[in-house]
Amino acid sequence: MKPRVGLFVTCLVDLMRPSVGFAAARLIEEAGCVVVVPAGQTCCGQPAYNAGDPETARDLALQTVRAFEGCDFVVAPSGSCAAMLRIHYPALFKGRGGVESEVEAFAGRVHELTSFLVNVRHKTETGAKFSGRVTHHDACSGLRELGIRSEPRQLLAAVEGLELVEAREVSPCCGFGGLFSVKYPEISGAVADRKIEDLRAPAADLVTGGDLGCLMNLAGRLRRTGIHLPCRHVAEVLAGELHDPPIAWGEEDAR
Amino acid sequence: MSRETILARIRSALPAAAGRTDERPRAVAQRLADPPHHPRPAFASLTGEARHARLIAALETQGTDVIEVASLGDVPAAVATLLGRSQPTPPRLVIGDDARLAGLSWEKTSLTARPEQWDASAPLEDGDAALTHAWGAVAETGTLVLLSGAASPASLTFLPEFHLVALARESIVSSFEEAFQRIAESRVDQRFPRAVNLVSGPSRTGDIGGRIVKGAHGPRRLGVILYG
Amino acid sequence: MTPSTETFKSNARAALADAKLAKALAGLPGGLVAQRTAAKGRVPEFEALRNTARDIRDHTLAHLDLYLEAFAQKAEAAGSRVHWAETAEEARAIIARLCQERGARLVTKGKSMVSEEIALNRHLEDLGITAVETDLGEYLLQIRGETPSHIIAPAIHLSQDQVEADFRVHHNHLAPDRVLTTAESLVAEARAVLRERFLAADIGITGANFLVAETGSAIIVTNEGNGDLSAHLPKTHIVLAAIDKVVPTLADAATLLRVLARSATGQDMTAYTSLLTGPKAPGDPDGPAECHIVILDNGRSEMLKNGLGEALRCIRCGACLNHCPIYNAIGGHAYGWVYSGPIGAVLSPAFLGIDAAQDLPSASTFCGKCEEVCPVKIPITRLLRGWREKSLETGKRRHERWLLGAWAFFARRPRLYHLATRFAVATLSVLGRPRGAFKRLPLAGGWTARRDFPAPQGRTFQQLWAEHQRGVPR
Repeated sequence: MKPRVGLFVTCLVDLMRPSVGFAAARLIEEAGCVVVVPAGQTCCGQPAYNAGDPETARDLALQTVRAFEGCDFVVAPSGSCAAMLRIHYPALFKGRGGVESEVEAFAGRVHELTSFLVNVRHKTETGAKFSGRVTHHDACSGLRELGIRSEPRQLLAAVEGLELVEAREVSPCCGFGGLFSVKYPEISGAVADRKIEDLRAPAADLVTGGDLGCLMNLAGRLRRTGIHLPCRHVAEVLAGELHDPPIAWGEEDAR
Repeated sequence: MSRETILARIRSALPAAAGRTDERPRAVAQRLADPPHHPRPAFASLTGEARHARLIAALETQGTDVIEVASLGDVPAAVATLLGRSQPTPPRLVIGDDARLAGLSWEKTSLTARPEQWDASAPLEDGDAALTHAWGAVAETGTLVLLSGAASPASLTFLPEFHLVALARESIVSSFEEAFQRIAESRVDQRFPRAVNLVSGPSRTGDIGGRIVKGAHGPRRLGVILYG
Repeated sequence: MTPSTETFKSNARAALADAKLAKALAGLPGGLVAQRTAAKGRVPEFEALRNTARDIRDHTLAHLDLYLEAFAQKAEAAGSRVHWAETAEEARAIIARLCQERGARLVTKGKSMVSEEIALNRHLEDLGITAVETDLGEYLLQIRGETPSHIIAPAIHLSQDQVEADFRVHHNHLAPDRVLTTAESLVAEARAVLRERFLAADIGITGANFLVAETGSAIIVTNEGNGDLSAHLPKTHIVLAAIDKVVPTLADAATLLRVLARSATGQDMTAYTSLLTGPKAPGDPDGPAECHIVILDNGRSEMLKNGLGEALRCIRCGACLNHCPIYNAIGGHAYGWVYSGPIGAVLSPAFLGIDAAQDLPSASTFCGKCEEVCPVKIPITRLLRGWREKSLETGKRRHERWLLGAWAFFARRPRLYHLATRFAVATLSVLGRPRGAFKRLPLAGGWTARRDFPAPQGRTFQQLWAEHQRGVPR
């Protein structure tokens, strides 16, 4: 029987870029799973958690845990949200009786999308095609909290016609940081500029990333500074879901 | 009193200190009496030729000049060679009150000035060279171990322009742990000398524009004569 | 120093506009960061060393009272006098008294962040005692009237031509036509000027990197040798160290030394690591006749109590600063107090109170790079998050609290949330889709100050997925 995978859409994909959600759903289905999308999910609670409001974070965590009851796996097209579900949910409920084990059991079933495809479903390629040079931006949470680095690269490298090139590694972060980006726009912009220099170094045709937050930040800054470098979620490339324009590009640009 | 207040505050902050157990004092007494054997890098457990090679490589990486000679009697000639490489040649060579160095014969060297015994009341001039004998060296990082005292006064480690150090091959140890343990064992009551100076290269600074410059406050040059 | 943590936002803006600072900071990735990476690469066991180092610090902190007592007992047995100071005022008073009792007029100082923390120099100056900083970086700051912008490279924000200009003004007894165009010539001049001070000083004051309980020794780590000259030459040596500097044994110190310099400068060892035990002994030709050790709490025992004990693991290597994207953008002064960067954002609220420093814990993207490089694995993001909780409870973040509350109202009610977001997204999309992004957007001024806001695709995923399930083509 096919495993039942609950897609944790993430609030940004839900609101900003549903094409990423469809790409993720297709990749999971093609990896031999049944996809369900519980309507009881909203946000993982990370904004509240990182703002210093653990009570709200706990409410949203329980709402999420319960929305995904009956799923064999929970997969998110975001390292940041996956890390919240996998690592920080158990931390939030540590020492809180019965619910602690419920949350831990849930957390153990959570995976970031590319990590799920490679490490759980043992996919080595997705059958997609893309013509051009692509550089992949590692989002901080996925990289440092979940240790995801080789997984997206392995899948991208297998895309027909795609040449994977590595960015320079000077800046450890794109400067997004959730609410940080709106509380400290000047610092965030300066950090983004450094990351953009890194990403421009290999003269890629496209930047991919596993987190829409970083990509919106980078694409928004690229757009503001007039640098022509398209950004897409890695799932879009892996699923060949490319009919929508890149992030922060208009229908006019895409033509 | 502040001492009691501070200690009481710390105790009140430590949950384990709340009970009337003697577990914590026992753990502390045991650690102090029998220091732990922490995992060390493989390069801190070398022996023989590998240890020797690591020491030499580490010294050279720091920018320390190294001359290897057969015996203690060859030290003066090596000192002359090292001083000869120094531009300008240091006007004076000052040595500590060390029996091993006192017995050396300087007649056959090219040095024009004879070494002088250091006089604590007359500070070294900038430009002077000093020769002292190291207690030993730690191979893992190419670190010279100098013990303060009449034989190698700390002033001679830090004040001269050019510090020359005689080092016996048999005194090389693999690791810091080994050095500390052997120093303690060699002392009356295991009491340490006032200063154990671990020296790893010449004095340096990166404080001006991030560029490394040698000779910040201590010696601009460091030379090691390894004998035996 | 007078804290300016409350004006962090404007400090940061000023720093971002400072081209000289940007140039100085641009040297970090290829300098200290690259050197640490190389040093770590030479030690295959580095990760194991970090774990051991963390465990040593945790063990010590869990037995801190006992190791401090053991240290004091051994230090006194070796002939040092140990003084205890609860507060900065008390530490200043102890040191001032020691100086005055000895009729001291000139004090040379080794680099000590704790002495910055207690603003010692100004206090001594007020009493007519000249305190000269001898670490070259600290000396530069002292003659400029500035404070450190980095834990181990305090003058990292200064360029060589600024130093030359300062030396020409400050060393006005030297020939005006002397050549000072190289770093070497500037170092040589500072060496000559400070050498006189070392030889004339009545008292030397240094910090300590570690206090060893096993032997009663202070360990001082420097590259310049200035700490040693301050400790060896004057008749009296005063060590000022905080309670968290104690380590149980030399074996423990050995492990910590293996990660300290490698994390800090990328050296395997700094040029000088000195183990100082008591004053000069009978038969010693040199060294201080007296050695005093001032052990300072200044709020650290409170940190231990308030869940900030892990921050006391810190061995002040500065790696978290060097690797931090925020520090790399704004430098150290913007943080507004003695300790900057990620660890400064953890420590400053503890020393100054969260109300005075509430912006610092928020000024992090939680990228986690600091934790990745910390030699004692301090969970910096967790500690910062703890401060964010405190400031949300007690601080001035009313506006933010209100916005979070409004957002949470919807996020807790999935059906309402999905309905409301549908309309919001549809509206935004109609307006933004042709161009793909907004230059300006009501209520999103924070975002659009520096970047465009990408337009949403038009409908929510939840909405489209529900239709997809019913067989409606996208």
